[in-house]
Amino acid sequence: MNRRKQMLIDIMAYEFTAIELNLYLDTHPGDERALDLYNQTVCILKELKRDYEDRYGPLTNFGDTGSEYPWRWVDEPWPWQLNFAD
Amino acid sequence: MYSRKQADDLARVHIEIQHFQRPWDPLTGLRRGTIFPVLYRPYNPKQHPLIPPDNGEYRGREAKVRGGRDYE
Repeated sequence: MNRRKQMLIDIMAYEFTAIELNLYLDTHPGDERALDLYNQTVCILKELKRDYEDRYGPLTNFGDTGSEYPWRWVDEPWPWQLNFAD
Repeated sequence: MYSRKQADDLARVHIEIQHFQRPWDPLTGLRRGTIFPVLYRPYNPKQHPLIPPDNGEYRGREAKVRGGRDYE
């Protein structure tokens, strides 16, 4: 598997974990262990996204990330063109 | 005798509070659709937790244990 795809999968996995902990914390706001894990997850996710965007360009086009010249958003493949069948 | 209010209820749900357990790592969680072993319900008609096997014996509890790894 190429590095770009592996990085996208890692980002998806950590985003999913963040959402799962987010939902758990909605009903358990006083759970410190879950909150610790959530904060760790967010930290790692930020690093993963920064690494990816430094190499391959922005993951989103609505204000989270700047771009080098020329505008990199239009470079294919798009972040969601990840094919699990490959 | 049911009170008016009870009689008007179509159904009632009872949901137990989820207790924290160590989650699976992010990649395993993504693959399984949850990071919490206690919520893992793989769809496999042959051993679905709610569908009894051929001999008619109810194996819900057993299937549950098989589905989720125990932590802590």
